[in-house]
Amino acid sequence: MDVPKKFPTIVRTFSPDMVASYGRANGDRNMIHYDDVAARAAGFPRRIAHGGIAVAVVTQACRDYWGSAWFTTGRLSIRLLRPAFVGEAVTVGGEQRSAEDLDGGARVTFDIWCTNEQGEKILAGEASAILQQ
Amino acid sequence: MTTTTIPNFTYDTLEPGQRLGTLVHEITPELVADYCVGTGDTHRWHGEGAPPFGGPIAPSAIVTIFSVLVFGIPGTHRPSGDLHARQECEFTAPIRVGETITTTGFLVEKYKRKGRKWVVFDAHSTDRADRLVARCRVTLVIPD
Repeated sequence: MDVPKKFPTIVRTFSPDMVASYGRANGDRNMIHYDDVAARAAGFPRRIAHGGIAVAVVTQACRDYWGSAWFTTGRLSIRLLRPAFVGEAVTVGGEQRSAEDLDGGARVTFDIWCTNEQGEKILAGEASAILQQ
Repeated sequence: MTTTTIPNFTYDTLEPGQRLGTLVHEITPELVADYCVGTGDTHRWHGEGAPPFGGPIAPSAIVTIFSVLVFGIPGTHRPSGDLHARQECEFTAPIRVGETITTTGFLVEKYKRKGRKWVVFDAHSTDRADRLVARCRVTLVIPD
């Protein structure tokens, strides 16, 4: 089965408003996400975004690639390597690793990552789902 | 509305297989809107509706929030300052807006490495019909 080899690229800047909204959704009130002084006291140079935001952006690229199949057959395995800072732009990318033929489709696996403005990976791993013929 | 049940435990008393917290989340339009704004997600499936599934659905990764919280709400059930080290998920069904999702956690393992405490736990999320919508595995480094 021929499958698209290009993984969507998403560039997103983690704004203070995004971090505030995400904090309302997940209930995390840790001040390292909202206050530079608290972040510095915890050893960071400035406020950091919740790690789950970068995870979510990666899954948005997965949804854009696999479509509805992502919600029923998607698999994700990632390591969070370093924080993203509030106000920082990150870029999600991926490269196809394999396409395993199945009856009526293929499980397509991508190596995926998210990099910061310095090109450093803030998370990396793999994602897969089944594309139907 | 969220209902949270977190049993009392500490790192030292945790045992593999032990049941962790159970959370019941109403997937309200407001929760999905906050999550979408918080992640910069403007896809129409999460607002107007997802034609493959009927009405609007939540972004898949919303379960990652629930999966981490089965270990306790930071600042309430456990100290703030944990490090989210690894996240694995398998998505098996879409979560429709208006659905009620119950997430239950179980400890897989705990260990100390380089002087830090690590915990690995599973979190299974089901809908009102008790259908599995996602299973996640989370690795956290927890503060003393």
